[in-house]
Amino acid sequence: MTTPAFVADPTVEVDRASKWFGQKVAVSAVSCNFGQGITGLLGPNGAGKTTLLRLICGLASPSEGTVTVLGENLRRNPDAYRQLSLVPEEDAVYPQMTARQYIEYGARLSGLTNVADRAADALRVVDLSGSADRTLGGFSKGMRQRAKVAAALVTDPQILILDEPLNGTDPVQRAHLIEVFRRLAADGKTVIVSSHVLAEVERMADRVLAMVDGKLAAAGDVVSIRAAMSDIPFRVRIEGDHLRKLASELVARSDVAAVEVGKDAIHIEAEDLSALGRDIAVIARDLDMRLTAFQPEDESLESVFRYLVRR
Amino acid sequence: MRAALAIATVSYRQLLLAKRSYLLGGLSLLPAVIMYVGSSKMTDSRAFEFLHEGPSGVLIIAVAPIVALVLATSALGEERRQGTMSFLTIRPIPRWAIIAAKGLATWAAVFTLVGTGGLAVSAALGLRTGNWETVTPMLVMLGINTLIYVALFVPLGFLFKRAMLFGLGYVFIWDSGIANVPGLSPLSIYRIGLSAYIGILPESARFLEEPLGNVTPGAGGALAKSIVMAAIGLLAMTTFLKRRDLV
Repeated sequence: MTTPAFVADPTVEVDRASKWFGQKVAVSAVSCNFGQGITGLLGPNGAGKTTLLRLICGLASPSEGTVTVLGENLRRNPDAYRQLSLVPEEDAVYPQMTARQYIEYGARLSGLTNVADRAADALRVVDLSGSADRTLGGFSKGMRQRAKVAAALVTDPQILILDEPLNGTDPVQRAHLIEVFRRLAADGKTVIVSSHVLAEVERMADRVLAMVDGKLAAAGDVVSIRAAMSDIPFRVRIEGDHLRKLASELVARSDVAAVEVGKDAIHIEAEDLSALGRDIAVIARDLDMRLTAFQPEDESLESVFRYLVRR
Repeated sequence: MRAALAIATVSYRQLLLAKRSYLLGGLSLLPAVIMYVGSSKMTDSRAFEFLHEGPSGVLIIAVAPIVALVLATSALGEERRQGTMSFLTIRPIPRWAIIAAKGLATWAAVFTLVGTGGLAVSAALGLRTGNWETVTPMLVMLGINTLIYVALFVPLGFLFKRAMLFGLGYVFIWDSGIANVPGLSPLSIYRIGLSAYIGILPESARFLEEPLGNVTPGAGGALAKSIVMAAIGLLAMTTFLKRRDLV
């Protein structure tokens, strides 16, 4: 299948996977797959990204549907973990260990030999060699993130799962990590990166899957996701006097989709926010009214994603 | 095998190097201090009785379960709380090997502290009276008891946030209280270890049998029970880890 949610030669396959915890549905009938290169899993907090990643990693089992990694169910065949590494969102480090001990421990857990050299290489890749013998408890959030990435890379996995890997990193570290991920993708690895920040995903992902409320909302390359977002009607709150006159003026405009008159304000849905912003002062002057507020109400990424789901 | 060894080594070190372990180590040595100081003016036979009336009783009824409870509930519980459980489970290691390695390391850490206490309390008797025959039975008893405690408390620590409270309830309400009812004594952990202790000591020490209730003295039976308990604990935790989500 080669719809935007699917690629040829997948390494990770999700087939109508659902996951619910009691009454709460975290992932709802998601079907997609992942192959070589970087796939960004985009969505607001609580969209189900982490749960989907946990399903892929075998940390949770789907309530319905299936998830396979290189054709294997990880929960039944732990040997397949040789090909997969996870950088979890939470601070999953041992605070009393040094970065070197932590990464060497990860290598030993994967049954590797020559762990000292491998750990040194991984530390070099994430630019932590200089702090290798400091304990993780004394690291900044960004340094801990890099230590987690090094611990994931030390096993040289075919599939790398990164849950919000850039959280807490400064711009320099961020650029460096993005470069590392891009290099891995260029080497033919499958890299799945979750984030709630579109700009972050834009910088590294070749393909984007957008999730909202546990569902797959959109899929495709970054350009097409951007295009899908560009025609979202924006909701604006306007305050001032003579609001009814303003409402009747605005309702006649072709770029205004809806007008709702409230007690103290009017709420409008406009397709071109910047054009309306330019015109509203002129309209107010013509109507001899005083504007006290012109405020976009839902510019949040969450509302953008919700719009994508409704489409 | 290499991975399981890594888990066991790291866990053992983590458990013993934590600050609380110094406190627990001191607690484990307390009965030996009581024994050495308290028996200074006693005859040999009175010192032997004193060991069993006081110091060794404190060690097996209070110190051993408390040390086991603190370390065992943190063994997997802390991994879960600090989010490092996935660091262990996303590996090419069967779940039973993770649990076995964790359990073994925990038992070794508990036995290092409690066994040292046991060795010290027996040595205190030996130094006072020249009687060293309690050393081996003491270590066997503590080895058996701590194995069962670990088998019980490691899953407890993983499953419940208030594991310490439940564990203390078990130790002080059940083991030291309700299990005094003769029919229930075989379900008392400290009595299982005590049966091994009495089974190894010479016939002259059989006066210690009274607290055993229905439990028959003998090291073989006690060892078998502890191994069965450890196997049940391992099986239960493995099944849980395989079936339940790690969230």
